[in-house]
Amino acid sequence: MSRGNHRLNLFLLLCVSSVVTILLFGFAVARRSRVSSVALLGVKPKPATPNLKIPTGYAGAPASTDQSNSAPQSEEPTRSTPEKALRAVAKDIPAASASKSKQRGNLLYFRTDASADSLGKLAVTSLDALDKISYSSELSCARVHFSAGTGVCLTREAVADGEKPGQAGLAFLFGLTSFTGYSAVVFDEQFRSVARNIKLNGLPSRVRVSPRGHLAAVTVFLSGQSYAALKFSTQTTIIDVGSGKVLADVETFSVTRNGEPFQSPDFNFWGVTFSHDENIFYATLWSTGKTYLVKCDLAKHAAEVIYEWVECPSLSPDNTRIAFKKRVGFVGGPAIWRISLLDLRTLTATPLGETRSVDDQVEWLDNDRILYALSENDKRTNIWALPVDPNGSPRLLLAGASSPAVVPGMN
Amino acid sequence: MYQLDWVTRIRSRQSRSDIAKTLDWPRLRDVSPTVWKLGFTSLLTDISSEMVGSILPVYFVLHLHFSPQGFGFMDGISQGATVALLSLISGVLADRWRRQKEVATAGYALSALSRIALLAAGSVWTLVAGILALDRVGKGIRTAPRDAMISLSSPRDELATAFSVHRALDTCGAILGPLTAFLLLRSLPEAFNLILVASFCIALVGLGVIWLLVDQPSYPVAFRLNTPSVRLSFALLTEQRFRALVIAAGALGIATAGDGFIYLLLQSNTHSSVASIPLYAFLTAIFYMLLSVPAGRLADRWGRGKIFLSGYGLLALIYAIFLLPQMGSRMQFVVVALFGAFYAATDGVLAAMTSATLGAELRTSGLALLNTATGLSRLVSSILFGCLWTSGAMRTAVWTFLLGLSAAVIISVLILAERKPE
Repeated sequence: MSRGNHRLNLFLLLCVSSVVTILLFGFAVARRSRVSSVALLGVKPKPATPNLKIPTGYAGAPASTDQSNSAPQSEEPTRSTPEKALRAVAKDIPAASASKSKQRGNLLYFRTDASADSLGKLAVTSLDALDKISYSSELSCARVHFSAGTGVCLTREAVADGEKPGQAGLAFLFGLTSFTGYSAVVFDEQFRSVARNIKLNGLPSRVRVSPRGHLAAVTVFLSGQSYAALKFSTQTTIIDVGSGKVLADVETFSVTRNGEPFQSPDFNFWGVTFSHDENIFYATLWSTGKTYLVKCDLAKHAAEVIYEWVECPSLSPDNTRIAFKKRVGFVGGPAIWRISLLDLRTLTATPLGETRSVDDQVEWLDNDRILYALSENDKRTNIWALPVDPNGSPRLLLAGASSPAVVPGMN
Repeated sequence: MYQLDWVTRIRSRQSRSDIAKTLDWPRLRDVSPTVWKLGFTSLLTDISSEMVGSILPVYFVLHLHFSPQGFGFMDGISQGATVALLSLISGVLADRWRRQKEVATAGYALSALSRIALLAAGSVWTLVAGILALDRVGKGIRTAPRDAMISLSSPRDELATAFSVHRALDTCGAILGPLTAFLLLRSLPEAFNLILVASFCIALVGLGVIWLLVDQPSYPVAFRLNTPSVRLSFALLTEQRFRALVIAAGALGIATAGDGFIYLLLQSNTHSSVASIPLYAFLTAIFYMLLSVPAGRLADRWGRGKIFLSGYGLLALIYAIFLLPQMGSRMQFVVVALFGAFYAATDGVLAAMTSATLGAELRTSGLALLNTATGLSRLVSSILFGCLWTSGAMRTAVWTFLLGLSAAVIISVLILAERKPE
C-alpha cells in the first residue's frame, strides 16, 4: 500500500513538474519573441555579439524629430519603447518618400529573419544605404513581394481586424477549413493594408506581384496532413490584387508539349514569374518526377512547355532571360539546386557562379545581377547578390533577411 | 456467423446464470481500471505525437527550410518493414518474460525520448529522419503488449467493450493534439520549440501513467510447451481460428483504401477545397471517438464478428457513394460519419476477436503477428490504390476496391463462420 502511495506521489510530482516546465518555457518564448521582434540586424552581423540596431531614418532621410526615434536604443532594448520606435519608423516613410522622392534610389523590400524566433517582420531598405532599414510594426510575412506600389505579404496569422485568438480557435472547430489561417495581405509603400485579406489554402511558398502591380501569383503547399501515401502538392493561383478574386488556378490550364496536349493527374505548378504585359507568365510544372518550364497565357488559360528541369523561374527586367534553380542532385537529404540562367531567345541554359544549393525564387536586382535568400548552416537566412555570368561570385548583400523584392528608383 | 464465444461458453458447461449475465449489456463501470489507465496513457501520448505531427510539415518547410520533396521522402522512410519485425520481436519477448507492462513502457519511453531528441537535433537532416523512425519503432514496440494487457485485465465477454474504451480515449488524444498545437501556435507564432517541449512533457506524463500507476496483469501459468519464440508465434498460424482471423484481416486490409485516399476522394468528388482534408480527418476522429464505445458494447452483445464485418459493409457503402455520378456537399458529412463508424466497428473489435482466440501464454506474440499482417496489407493496399489511381481513372480504382472488398467480406464470412461448430 505504501509502495502504491509512493508511486502515486511520484506520478503527481511528474505531472506538476511537467506543467511547470511547459509554463516556464512558454513564458520564456513569449518574452524572447517580443524582444527578438525588435532585435534588428546590422549589415555585417557577428554571430557571437549580434549587432542590435534601431534604424534612425529611412533611405538617407534626416532623422526624424520623433523622440523615441531620435534616441537610438542601446544593446538592451526595453520592452515598452521599441514597439513605439517601430511604429514611429513605419510612420516615417510617407514623410521621407514625399520629401525625397526625386532622389529616391532603388528600394529593397524583404522579410527579416534575424533569429529563429523572429516574427519575420516586413521591412524596406534603400539599396544605396543598406544600414537604414524601416520595419513594419504590424506585418510579419512568411513570403513577401512588392512591385509598382503594391506589395503582397503571405502571413501565417490572421491579421483581420479584431480577430482574436480565441475566436480563431472556435472558427477552426466550427468549420474553418484552413488549418493555421494563412492569408495574403495586400499593402502599399507605407505598409498599410489596402485591400481585403485573401484566405490561402495552405502553407505559403512563393509569391510574385506582376510588374504593374495588378496581379499576384501565390503558391501554397496544400499541407496539414502527413500521410505517407500522399506527397506534398502545391496550388498556384493568379489573384486580382484589387478585388482579392482568384482569376485562375494554374492547374486548370490546358497544357501543351511539343504542340500536343500534355496532361497527367499529378500536375503541380509553382513559382510564377510575370512578364511586362501581365498576361504572359512563366511557371514550373512538375509531373512524374520531372520539372518543366511552362509559358502561360492567362487570358487563354493555356500553358506550353518550353524547357525542362527548371524550377522557380524568374524573368529578367528586359524579359529576355530567366534565372532559375536547377535540380542537380538528391544526395541523401534535401535536394540540391544550382542557380542557372536560361536565354529565352536561344533556349540555352548556363549555370551561374553560385556553388551552394539555393532553394529560392531569385529576384533580379537589375539586368545584370540577381538576388536570392540562402540559409547557411545556422538557421539564419541572408540575401546574396550574384552577377549573371558563369564566373560571377556571390556577395553578401543583407544579413538576416529573405524574400527580396526590388523596386527600381525614380531617378 | 461468428458467435463462437457464446457457443464455447455453452459447451464449456457454464451455468445458465453466467450466460444470462453476459447477455446483458456490458457496463462501462465494469471496465477494468487498468484499461482506463492504459487509455489515458494512449490519450496523452497521442496528444503529444499528434501535436508534433500536425505541425511537422510547417516546421520542416518554414522553420528548418527543408524542401517539401525532402519532407515527403523522409515521411516515406519512416514507415518500414523493420518496425513490423521489431514489433513481432517485442511481442515475443513480452510473452517470454511475462512482462507486457515493461515492454510497453519501453515503447512509450522511446517515443517520449524522440520528442526531446527532435528539439536537440535542430536541422541536421539525418538525425531528424532517424528520430522520426525512432518514434515509429516505439509505436511498433508498444502496441501489441498494450493490447495484450487490455485483454488480460478484462473478462472474456467484455473484451470488445474494453478495447472500445481504450480506442475512444486514444482517438480523443488524436483530436486534442492538433487542437493544442493550433492554439499554441495561435498565441505564439513560430513557437515550435515550445510545442516540442510541451509535447515531451505530455508524453512524459503519459509514460508516468503506465509506469507508475498500471500494474502488470497477472495470468496463470498454464501448462506450457515451450518458451515463447518467434517460431512458436508463427506456429500459431497452424491454429485454425487464429489463421482464419489473420487471413480475413489481411484480405480486408488489402481492400481498405488508406485514410489519405478516402479524404482525397471525398475532396475531389465534392469539389471542395483541399484545405478541408485535415477537417475530414478531424471529424472522422470525432465520429470514431463517439461511436467506439457503443460499437464495442454492441459487439460484445451481438457478436464481434457481426459488428466487425458490418464495419466493412460501411466501408463498401462509402466506396459505393464515391461511384455516384454526383455528390452533394452534404455527402461529406455522411462519408466522414460512415468512415468514423467503420473505424469504431473494426479497429478495437478486431483486437478483441484476436485476443479471444489466443491463450494468455502467446497473446502478445499473436497480437503482434496480426498487427504486422494488417500493417503489411495496408501498405500493399496503399501502393495498389495509388498505382490504380495514377494509371487509370479514379472510378476504376474505386470499382476495383469495391469488388475486392466484397470478395474479402465474403471470404471472411465463410472462413470465420467455419469456426462455428455445427
